Amino acid sequence: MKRPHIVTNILRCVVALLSLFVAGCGGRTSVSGPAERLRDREALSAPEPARAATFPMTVVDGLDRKVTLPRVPARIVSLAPKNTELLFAIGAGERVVGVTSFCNFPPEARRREQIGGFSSKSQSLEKIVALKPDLVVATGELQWPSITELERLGVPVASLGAESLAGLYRELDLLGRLTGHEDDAAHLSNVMKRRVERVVETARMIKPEQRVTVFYQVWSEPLTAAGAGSYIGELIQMCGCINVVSDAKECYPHISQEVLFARNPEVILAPTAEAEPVTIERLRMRPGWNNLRAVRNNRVYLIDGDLISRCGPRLVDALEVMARALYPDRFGTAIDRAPGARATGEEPRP
Amino acid sequence: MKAPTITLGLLAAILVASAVLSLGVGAVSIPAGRVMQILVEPSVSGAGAIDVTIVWELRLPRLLLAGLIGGGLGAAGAGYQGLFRNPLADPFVIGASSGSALGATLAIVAGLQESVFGMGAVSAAALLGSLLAVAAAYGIASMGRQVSIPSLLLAGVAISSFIIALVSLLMFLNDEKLLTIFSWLMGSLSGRGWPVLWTTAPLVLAGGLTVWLQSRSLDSLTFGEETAVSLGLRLGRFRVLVVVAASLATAAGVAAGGIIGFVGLVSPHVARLLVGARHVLLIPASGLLGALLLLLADDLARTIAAPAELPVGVVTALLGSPFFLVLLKTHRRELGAMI
Amino acid sequence: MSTLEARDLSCGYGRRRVLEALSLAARAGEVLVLLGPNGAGKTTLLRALARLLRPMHGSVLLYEEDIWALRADQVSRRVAIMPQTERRDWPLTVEESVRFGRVPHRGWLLPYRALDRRIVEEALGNMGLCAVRDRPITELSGGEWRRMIIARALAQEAGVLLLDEPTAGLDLKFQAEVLRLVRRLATERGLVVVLTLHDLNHASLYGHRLALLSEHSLAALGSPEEVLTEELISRTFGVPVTVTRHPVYGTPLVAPLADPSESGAW
Repeated sequence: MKRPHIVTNILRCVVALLSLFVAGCGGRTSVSGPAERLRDREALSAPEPARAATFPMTVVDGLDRKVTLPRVPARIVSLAPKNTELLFAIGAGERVVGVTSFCNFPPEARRREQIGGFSSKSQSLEKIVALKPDLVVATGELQWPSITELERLGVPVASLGAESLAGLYRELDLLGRLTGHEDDAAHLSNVMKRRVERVVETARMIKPEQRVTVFYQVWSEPLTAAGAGSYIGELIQMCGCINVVSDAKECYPHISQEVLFARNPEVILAPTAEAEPVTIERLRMRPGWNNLRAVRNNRVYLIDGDLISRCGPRLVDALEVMARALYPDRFGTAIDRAPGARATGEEPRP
Repeated sequence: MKAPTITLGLLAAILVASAVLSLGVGAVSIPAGRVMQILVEPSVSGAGAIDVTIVWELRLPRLLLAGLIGGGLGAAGAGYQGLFRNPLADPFVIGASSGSALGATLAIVAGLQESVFGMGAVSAAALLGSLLAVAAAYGIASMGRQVSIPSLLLAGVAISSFIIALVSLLMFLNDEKLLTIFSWLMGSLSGRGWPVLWTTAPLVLAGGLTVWLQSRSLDSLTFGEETAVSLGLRLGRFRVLVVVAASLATAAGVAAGGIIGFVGLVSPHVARLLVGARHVLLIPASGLLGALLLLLADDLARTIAAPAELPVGVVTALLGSPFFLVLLKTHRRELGAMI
Repeated sequence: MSTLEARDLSCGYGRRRVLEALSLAARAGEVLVLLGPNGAGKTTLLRALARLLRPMHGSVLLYEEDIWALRADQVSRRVAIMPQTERRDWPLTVEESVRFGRVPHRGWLLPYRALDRRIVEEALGNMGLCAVRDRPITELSGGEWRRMIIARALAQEAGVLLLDEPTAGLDLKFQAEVLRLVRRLATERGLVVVLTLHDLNHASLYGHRLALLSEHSLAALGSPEEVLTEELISRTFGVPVTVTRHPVYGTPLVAPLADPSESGAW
């Protein structure tokens, strides 16, 4: 009578262990692309040529899938907040008919029909199909079950999942072509690139010995950091900082607390929410964290999760917020305060 | 009978030695000499301050907690195997683990953050859930007539299945919290500091000691319930006492570290091979072994995938199962009396 | 004064009554054997006497006190039982098992004293178990097992010994040995011994008084000569018998007869 209990116990643990390793490379909502940041940054400096829309059109999406659209899509369903933001940002917002319950930006998006929650399981295929979409925008491998089902039902699905700024620009271009808003997409890309360039230039002037060491906590339990291969890691590098876990191979390595302590970063960053809101008080209460340099010097900053946890159009807001927090004297006047962005945490004594 | 007592002393010595060695083990390498120095003179200032933090705030409370939880599970497991006279009984058999999972999941889903009596909300909810599930199993088993051991086991299985279904439902409905819930379920001692130790210790020690005091009563069950009663055992009262005490030790352990399996199942069996069947020796031996096992498992969890950490519940399951099978094969005769 | 008495006792399981208004008393120094067909209630009566089964009506008295008004530990100091079967889950040794007889006196928590050890030693000696004191009980033969339980009862210093089918599963030699032992305990130490048996001739040889149970009540109570009559036995067991005298001891000897309507072997 007891045997099944033990077997399912083991199976459960093995599956969990394996999924840990898988998740380590994939991040939570996006597929990890190769870390090709430096090459891409060179390619970025040349402006993207605007291409005329020709339908029917076949493109290759973020999962290397061929997506064919017979005509400009009039009804679009988004399966992730980042996709929603991108669609609205390039002007395709009125054509979005379905969103997830987590799509909270821009405010108009909240009024669209909700098709479910965070992952494939909680998103209703029936609801999606009932909205009669001619394009569904998904996010990466985690939504694979939905993608295959929708394909089978004949609904075109394009999957995004950039894990770098270069990838983000490519996705903007892709979405622009798919929705017939290439110009808007190109314009948005250029604006973002200019803002990024300003940050990078200012950061370039920071001498090596003045560069701040940073740890970005993606998740608290298990302790997960943003590695060099993730888009957050890219932002950190762009701000002219040194990521203390840059030696880890994964995009989002799980590290032990001991490693964090040994590397003792000068600044700790975290999003304002994981599954629950994150507060600096609770971070401080962790065993031993009182002795971390960053905690003692009040250099723990929280960045709005909606900005930084989504690799979307507002990512540059997050970059600017981060830069201001890390080097307040250098970035304070160079960048206008972006609307809706904030960093919490006490400022260090001047 | 001197020999089993000597074995007990030896086990205790091995445990202490392992604890000391474990202090030097971790993702960050700190030489043994430095560890000794830190233990003697823990000053948190200067260049070596971070080492001191790692040893005193991270490693030391963590390995003490591992010993405590493992000890509690070992003692509780021995108590349950004695009470149910079933070699496959472990501390989770009548709902302690599923109840704690439900409590923790509810707390995580509700986003509770506040501390209760110095315990995190999730831990407190897990503790409560664990105890309530056991009480429910006991209540179901005693509906109508007196509780019998088989009915208690059945009620426990039924309750556990139902609760696990509820937990799965909650996980499905709140899939953005899936990672948090899952990482709690898998059992982990990472990030547990001194406060957790202070809240866990009294409960585990109280529960474990109470079970130990019932040693003679547990022994008497070997003759059967009728004989035990005729020797003066107050059966109902005794059963409740063992169940409550063992569940308390288990629930406290689960509240602190999540669901850590196999320790409570394997320790009593190995202990029986080492010191014999009398519970007055078996329960402490099982406790010491459980402490040792969990300590070693946690050492592995901390180092084998460095700099990442494995959840310790996964390590105990992966190692415990083949170990148990080997044990069954090589010692079938000694264990055969019960199987 | 009677040591152990059932007075107007009715008991059973659930709604089913097995015994109806039964009264009998056992005295010190005697062996009382409960006889009867299967299902007549022998074991039920024994369990009621042992304070393991609550009466539905009537009472069980131990030294004139209601056994259920006493505490369990008080009763356990005076009454010892040998159930029909006992589990042998764990390899406790013989000595450790006999030591359990001291629990009613010492309790479940306190360590044993020198006095306890002495009594246990005596009991082991009396039952000839000294040579096997360290043997695990899982390895005992049937006869040794029962001797161990009697040793435990002796260590318990109980005045009343209740045995349920003590000869079950034993060969001829050990059957005789156990019965001789309990008779000696009764006559030499003044214990009250109540036991159930299937074998009528064993009852006749070793019992001082016999109680014949039938149809929820007592069909007869008295000496072997009074109870083991052809008419009573045939009627109670539904089998024709003939009763003669034991050639050596002169006690009644019951021999079953073939059914006259059957044609057959003999």
